[in-house]
Amino acid sequence: MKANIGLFLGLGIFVLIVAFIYGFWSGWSDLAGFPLLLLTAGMAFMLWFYLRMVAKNHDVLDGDNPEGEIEHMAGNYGEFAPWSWWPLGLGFSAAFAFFGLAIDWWVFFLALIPGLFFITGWVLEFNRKRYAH
Amino acid sequence: MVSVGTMVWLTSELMFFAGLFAMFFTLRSTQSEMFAEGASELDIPLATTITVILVASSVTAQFGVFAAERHQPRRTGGAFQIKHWGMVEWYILSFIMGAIFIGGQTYEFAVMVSHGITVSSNAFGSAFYITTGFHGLHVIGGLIAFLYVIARAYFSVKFTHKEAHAAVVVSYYWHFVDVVWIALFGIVYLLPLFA
Repeated sequence: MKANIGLFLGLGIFVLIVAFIYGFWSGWSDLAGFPLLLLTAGMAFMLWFYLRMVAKNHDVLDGDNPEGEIEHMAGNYGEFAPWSWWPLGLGFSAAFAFFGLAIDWWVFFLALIPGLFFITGWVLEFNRKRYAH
Repeated sequence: MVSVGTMVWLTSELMFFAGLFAMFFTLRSTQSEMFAEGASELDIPLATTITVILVASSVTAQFGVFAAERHQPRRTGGAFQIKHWGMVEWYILSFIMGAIFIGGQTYEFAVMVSHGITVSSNAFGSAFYITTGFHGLHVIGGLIAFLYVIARAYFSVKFTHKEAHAAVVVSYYWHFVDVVWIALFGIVYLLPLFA
């Protein structure tokens, strides 16, 4: 984790410096590039801040242990449904929605109906029926 | 895992808004007179009010997170005993405040359209509606996410770490959208007052 934190901090500082060099060099006339570079630095700082927060709330992570083995990283990384059909339906609804944007708004709004159906099904997948808890 | 993914996605969202900010600044620098004229149409008292409401909703959402972190989905006392509120009550309050924000923004859009400023009328209209409108869509997305978190809490008899986790990542998103609005409010509404 330490390497990741340092990576994003370094990236943020580098882009921040580059942003001001670029701004100065372009005579502060390019108001697309300068704010974009500033916010790219913001993006890196955001990840730096988040990773630092994670590192503070956890003990030494296995990735930082010089004696660590690959197998130490094995374990539960989250809960993933191995057979869920909801994301596929949601994907088709999203494709339908983008198709709608190309045709007309009414097609897009039509696509929101299956979209809402599938996303609701996905979100509540582990709260219903035999998985109710 | 979910929170890492949310954070990485939020950083990409930051770059999305960065593009919108760049568009706004570039148009503003080329059409400064048009932007000064357009800014005089803005309803600053209304925008300030809904900004305060949105920022306050971030605070109430955070109290919801604290409740979720102690695995308390519902209130343990009366409806107005705020100290005993659970996650659901705090999130419903945040939802209502976010909805008021959207209502205020819609009202402002309607007034501005009635004054002849539309998304296609001039560069100011495009920049204004696209930046604030995309932010409004994000707020609506957050409101829907609040509803799902609340629905999950009602669906589950036992409030597990999974439900709590969903509440936490939705709050990340809500805080992010809130911070973006503060930046947008400064650029769209406050900047013309000083420049």
